[in-house]
Amino acid sequence: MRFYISSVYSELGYFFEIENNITLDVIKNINQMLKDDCNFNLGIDKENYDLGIFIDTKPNLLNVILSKPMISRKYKSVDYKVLIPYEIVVNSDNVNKTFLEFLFTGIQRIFDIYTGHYNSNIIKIKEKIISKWAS
Amino acid sequence: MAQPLNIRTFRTLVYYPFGMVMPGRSYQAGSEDGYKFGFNGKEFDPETYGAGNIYDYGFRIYNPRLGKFLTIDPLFGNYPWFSPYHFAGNSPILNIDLDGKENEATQPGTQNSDPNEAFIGDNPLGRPSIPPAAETVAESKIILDGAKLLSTASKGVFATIFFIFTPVECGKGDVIYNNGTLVNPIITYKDPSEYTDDELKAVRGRLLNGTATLQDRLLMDEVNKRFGVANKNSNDAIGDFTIYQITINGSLYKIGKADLSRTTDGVPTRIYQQVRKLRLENPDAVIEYRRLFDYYNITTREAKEHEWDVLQDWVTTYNRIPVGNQRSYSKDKQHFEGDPAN
Repeated sequence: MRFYISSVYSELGYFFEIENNITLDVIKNINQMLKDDCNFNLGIDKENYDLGIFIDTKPNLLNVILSKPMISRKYKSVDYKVLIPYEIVVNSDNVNKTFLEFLFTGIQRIFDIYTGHYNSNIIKIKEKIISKWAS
Repeated sequence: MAQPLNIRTFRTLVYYPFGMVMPGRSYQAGSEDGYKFGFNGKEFDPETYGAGNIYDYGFRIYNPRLGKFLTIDPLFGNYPWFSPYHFAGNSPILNIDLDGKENEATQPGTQNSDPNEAFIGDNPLGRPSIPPAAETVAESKIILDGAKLLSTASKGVFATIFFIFTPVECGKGDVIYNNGTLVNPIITYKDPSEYTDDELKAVRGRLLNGTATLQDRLLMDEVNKRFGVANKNSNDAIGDFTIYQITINGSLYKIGKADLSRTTDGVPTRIYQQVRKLRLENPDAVIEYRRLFDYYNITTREAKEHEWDVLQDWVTTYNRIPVGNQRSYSKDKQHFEGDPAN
């Protein structure tokens, strides 16, 4: 099983200019976490499915919104859209840090759906990434 | 506070208490003369006795000019105190007749009687699925409740006003009709032939992209008469389009156009599939979809031209063709620029 993060911006003019290396680092670390613990799966019949996040944003949001899962049989994936508040991120003093905090909130919520025991690992990854890219 | 509401009244019938239409006090839009519902929300049979003179109540046929059903009540044994031909217990101010079998009392200020409720939006023709709101002259109020147009029926029914309105322009809880007065409406009695070409072009766009309002649907005949019927997938189909880009790790992969009426959560549905495919092919990359320009009420042909302009600007600037456009580029170049070399 692989973990992906892609950006699918649904509204004209609303997107984040976040360096790709930051997102790639998040993907790499989450994939490593899943590799270290092979027990994670997305439920019955979904053992070989990938888990994906589509980052999106909209104006006037106050917190992260997680969509219901989008399941693709063709590409064998379960995807969640994570809606990140636009103004709060782009107006913050540390855009990368605020963005990552919202992104990890979304990631934690997704993993909480399946199992809660990754919480401490995800917090560790979050602190590591933020200290590397946004301190 | 009431929101602006676009209401078009297509029929107004004013009745005597037993349902006979008062001569000279009715309004009927020509485009809706095939619509057969009236008093008590029942269907009339215009062929035999003329419009509004005979109603089908389900179990029996009712003649509002006589104030009687034409056949005896199948439940006459339960009501020995009534004539078997009676209508609504001979108290049409207090009661309505449900189905030709028995009457039911209506209560002032309640919303409990089916003939006085109109459900909007679940009928393919955009007309109320249950014959629309029956309004009393006094103490009446129409409140929008989600997709429902509710009317509070006071005792009896004196008049029926049939509304076609644009529900997206008003919200739950808005009062649109109160004590005989329409609250803050924009009423249009416009005949379809009075619409300008530009107005109808916008209507045609909404009809083709699936966002038509109820009022738009009533203008369909006029639109077809003036512009001809366009296939949704043809180059002449009008719709809303976006020109988008897909990048892989920040490098442009494709410029494309998409129909905004075919979206999931605001994103053209096929984009999700495209992103899934690309991330499988590029597992260590970040795929990004972003809208560059939106165009409203344009033809598919115009959208293709816009897409070509954006692509061509990019090709000229960076002197290479994005990978995702390479397959169709030569054909498009020939089409848009008539390049004989391709």
